[in-house]
Amino acid sequence: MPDRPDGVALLELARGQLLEELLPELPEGKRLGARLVANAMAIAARELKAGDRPGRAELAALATLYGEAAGKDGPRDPVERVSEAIQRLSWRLASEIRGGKLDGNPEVYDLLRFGTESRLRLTNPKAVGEDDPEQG
Amino acid sequence: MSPTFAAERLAELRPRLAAFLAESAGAKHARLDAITPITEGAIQENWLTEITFDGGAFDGLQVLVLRSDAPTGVAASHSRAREFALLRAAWDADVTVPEPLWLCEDEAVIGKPFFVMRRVEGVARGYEVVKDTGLGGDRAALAGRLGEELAKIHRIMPPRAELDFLELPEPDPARHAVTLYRKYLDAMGEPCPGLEWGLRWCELHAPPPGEITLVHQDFRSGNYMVDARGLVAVLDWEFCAWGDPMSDLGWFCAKCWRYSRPDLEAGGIAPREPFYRAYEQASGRKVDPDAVAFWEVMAHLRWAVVARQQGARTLAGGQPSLDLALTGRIYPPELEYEALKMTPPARWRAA
Repeated sequence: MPDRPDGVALLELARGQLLEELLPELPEGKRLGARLVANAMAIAARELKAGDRPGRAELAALATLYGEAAGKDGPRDPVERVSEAIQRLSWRLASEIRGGKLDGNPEVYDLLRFGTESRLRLTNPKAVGEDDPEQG
Repeated sequence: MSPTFAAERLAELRPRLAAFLAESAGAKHARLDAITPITEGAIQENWLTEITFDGGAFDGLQVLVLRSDAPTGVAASHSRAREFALLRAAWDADVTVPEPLWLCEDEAVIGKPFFVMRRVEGVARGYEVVKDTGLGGDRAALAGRLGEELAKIHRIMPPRAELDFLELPEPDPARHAVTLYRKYLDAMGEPCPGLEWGLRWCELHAPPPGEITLVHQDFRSGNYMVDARGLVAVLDWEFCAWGDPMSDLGWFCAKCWRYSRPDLEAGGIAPREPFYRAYEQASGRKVDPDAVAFWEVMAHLRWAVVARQQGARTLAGGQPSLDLALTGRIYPPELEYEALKMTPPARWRAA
C-alpha cells in the first residue's frame, strides 16, 4: 500500500491544475501540447486505477478459448507473468486467425471485441459509451 | 518541438540556400529575408521562406515553402525527390496542388534534400474543416470538387517514366495490401489478433482486381486545404502508389476520417452522393459501393498499422514525442474497434 495520496490521486490533482490553472495562461500555440500532456496523465491514471484487472480478464478470456486451466487465477505456470501469458496466447490467436483456422468464429469475435473494449476503457472510455471521470 | 535547422546553423546555411534559389530561378541574386518553421509533421518539415529575387521570371519578393525530410521516416513514405515528381505529375494533370518549383538533392546546401513550392493559404486541419462550416464554401460543392480532383488523379496511369520509383503495379492491390500490412505487423513484433481478424476478412472478401491507376492513398479531410470559398490545394502526396482507384474513395469516406461528423459519410463534410456523382462524371468510371465498403474496412486497418508504427518510433530510440506516443496508444484500439464492428461473423461469406 503506497503512502497517501497515491499515484492516482496525484495524477488527478496534477491534471486538474494543468487544465484549470496553467493551460489558460499558455500562449495559443502551446495549448495543444498541454492537452496532450493532460491526456497522457488521464490514461496513466486510469491504468494505475485499473491495476492488473484488465490483464487478468484478458488472460482469462484467452485461457477459456484455449482450454487452459489458468483462467482467472493467473498464468498456467507460476513463474510466467500475466503479460507474458497474454503475449503467448495472443501470438497463437493471431497466427491461427491469419492461417484461416478461425474464420468468422463468433467466440473469437466476442473475445476480440471484449479485448478492444477493455483497451478503450483505458484510452478513450467514451468510445465504449462510458462516462469518463478523468475528463470531468 | 526541436527544429532540426538549429538557429545557429541558419546563418551558415543562408548563403548556400540563397545561391541555390537564385540559380534555380534564373535570377542574378536572391536574398533570403526570412525562414521560419510552419509545421513539424511526423514525416516532413515545412519552412516558410521570404525571398527577394533580383532578375529572372521570379523577380521581386516571393513567399515560397521549403519542404524537407523529418529526422526519421515512416515506412512507405517517399523521399522529397519522389514527392516532388508526384507533385509535378499532379500539377501536369491539372490537380489543384501548390506549384512545385525546384528540387535540391545536393545535401551540401542545407544538409538534406528539399524542394521548393509556391505557398498556398488556407486551413487543412481535419477537425477544423469538418467543424467550421464557414470554411470550404458550400459543402456539397466542396465534396463534388474533391470527387473531380480524385478523378484527375486517377487519370494518371502506369507506366510513367518520371514515376518509375513507384513499385510496379500489383495486379491484385487488395490482396497485396493484406500481405503488406501483415509484413508491417510482423516487423513490429507485437501480436495483434484484432487487426489479424480484419486482415483475414479482407483477404477473403477482396474485390476482384480491376483497373490500376495512380492512387493518392491519403486523400481525406485533413489533407486538403480550403479557404472561405472552397478548395485551395490537395496535399500530402508521399503515400502515392499504383492501385485500385476505389481505395481512395474508401479512404476518403472511412468513418475514422469524418472527425466530429460521422453522419456525413463523405469525409465528414457531405453525404456520399455529391462526391460519388462528381467522381463518376469526371472519371467516366462507376463507383462500386461494395469495393468502396471493402476499402473502408481496409482504411481502418491501414491507419491502425501506421499509428502503431508511429508509436513504435518513440519507443525504438527515435525522437521522443508525446504526440507520436499518444497516436500509437490511442488510435489503434479505436480503429480496431471500428474494423471489428464492420466485420462481424454474419459478414463473413462461407469460406
